[in-house]
Amino acid sequence: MSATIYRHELRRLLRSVWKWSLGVLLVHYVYLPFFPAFAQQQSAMEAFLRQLPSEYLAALGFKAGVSYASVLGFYTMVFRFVQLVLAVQASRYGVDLLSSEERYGTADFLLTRPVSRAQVFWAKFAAALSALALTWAVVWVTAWSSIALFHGDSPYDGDTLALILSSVLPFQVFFLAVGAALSMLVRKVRNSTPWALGLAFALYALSAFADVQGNAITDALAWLSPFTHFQPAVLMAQRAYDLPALGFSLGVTWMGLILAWLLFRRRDIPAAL
Amino acid sequence: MSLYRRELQAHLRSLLIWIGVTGLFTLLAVPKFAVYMQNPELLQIMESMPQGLLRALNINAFSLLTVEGYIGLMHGYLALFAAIVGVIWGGGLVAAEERNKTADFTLSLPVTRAQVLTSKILASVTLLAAYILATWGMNEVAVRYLGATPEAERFLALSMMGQFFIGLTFLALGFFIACAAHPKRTGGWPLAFVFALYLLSLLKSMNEHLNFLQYLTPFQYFAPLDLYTNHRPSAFALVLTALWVIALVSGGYWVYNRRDIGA
Repeated sequence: MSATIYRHELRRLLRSVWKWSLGVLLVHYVYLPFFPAFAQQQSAMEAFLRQLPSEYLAALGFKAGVSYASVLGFYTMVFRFVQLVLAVQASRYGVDLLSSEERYGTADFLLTRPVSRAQVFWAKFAAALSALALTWAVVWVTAWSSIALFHGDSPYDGDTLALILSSVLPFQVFFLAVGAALSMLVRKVRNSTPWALGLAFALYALSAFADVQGNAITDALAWLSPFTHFQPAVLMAQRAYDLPALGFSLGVTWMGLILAWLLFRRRDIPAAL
Repeated sequence: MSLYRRELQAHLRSLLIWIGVTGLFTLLAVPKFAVYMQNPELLQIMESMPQGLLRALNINAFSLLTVEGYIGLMHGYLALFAAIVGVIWGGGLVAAEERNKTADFTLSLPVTRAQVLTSKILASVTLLAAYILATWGMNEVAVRYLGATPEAERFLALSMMGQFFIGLTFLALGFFIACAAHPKRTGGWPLAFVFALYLLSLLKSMNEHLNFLQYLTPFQYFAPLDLYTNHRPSAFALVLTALWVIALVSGGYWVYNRRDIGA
């Protein structure tokens, strides 16, 4: 790993980290102030709903163990949206990781420096990881502060919140690694945005109805997506990670990273015109 | 005309990818709805519930138990997809020239800048229309499979029309931004707009004091519940959409004609 490349990359990424962080902060601080009013409406409704059979509740979109009248139940809805934003960010960093130098015609300059491709790869990866970790720290701080400020008289369990927020880093790294592998599989990435969006939204689509039971094929497909592995409502209801799902997620992350490295190591990188 | 054809060809793959993502989404959603809709016990429970109470709680309108519920729930997701493809194509076609450094080539052809923009905007509207038609087709199949009623078919048509207009508004937004500045400077702003307006739209449905937001975000112009209860889009929605689109597109032409576009 080369410290110079790491510093340069991190400085470049920081220019976008603050924008994504601001977005995350806004999502929290725009939604959570509405919790107390929402909880009032919701608790009257849920008192009525509790008399209904559980299959019926599931059909209406309610999960056992998750009350939207509690601040964490409410937060699971906000967190889904935060996840979508973070997935786009991490995918974008992933797709750009190894392909942006080629696009801007600076790859031949970089690779003729006295550093190996391995050093370039790891320096870039470490910089992207630091940038994502920084965003994660912002998520952590804004989530705690906004919930503490606006939870009203609804108590919440700090351990459960910590569990939900801990899922952010493996979730981000999944998209970083898969995005990087994807960018190496195609001949040339002209613009990283559509690729990043496609990756994030395809996986989001896979898991959109994951909490409702369907047939074997759709359930299996839904299980492939990190949006399913780290579903906040499930984390809240079970207060633990689904270990096979977590293992699968980390496995795909490693495979993506290794694939990206193998392809980058042997990639034919043209000189700028 | 040849520019128009060239743009369509160049973006065919992007169109197919997004149709694929949407198809995947539909394919995954339908079996889940089918589990509930084809369960007679659940239907019986629903019929035994006092209708007035359910309506007061606003949970009867869109549940997993009716075909209309399927359309209403899908609308939220599909509208977000339509907005994203709109902003990608509306902006992407114009921005690509500067990003790929082909702007000086294209603009030195014997066509005016306005003609270039017209081909591009026509191509992006065509892409959006093709995307919406494909989505409609896939959801028509889904609705038939789940048990279509004439009312559901009409609701689906309205929902798709709403999505087209939502997509069109964002297409105009993406177009304007791409006309106004170099893609390196605009970065992720078009997408940030999509997310922010979607967020506001979700927020509006959460609290009744926020009803003013419905004038601000295109996602609310064609809200599924309004389409479902009124059987047509509201006049204000159509007028606001037309205003947005005309203002943004003509603004785009105006700035692009005056901008310094480097070789």
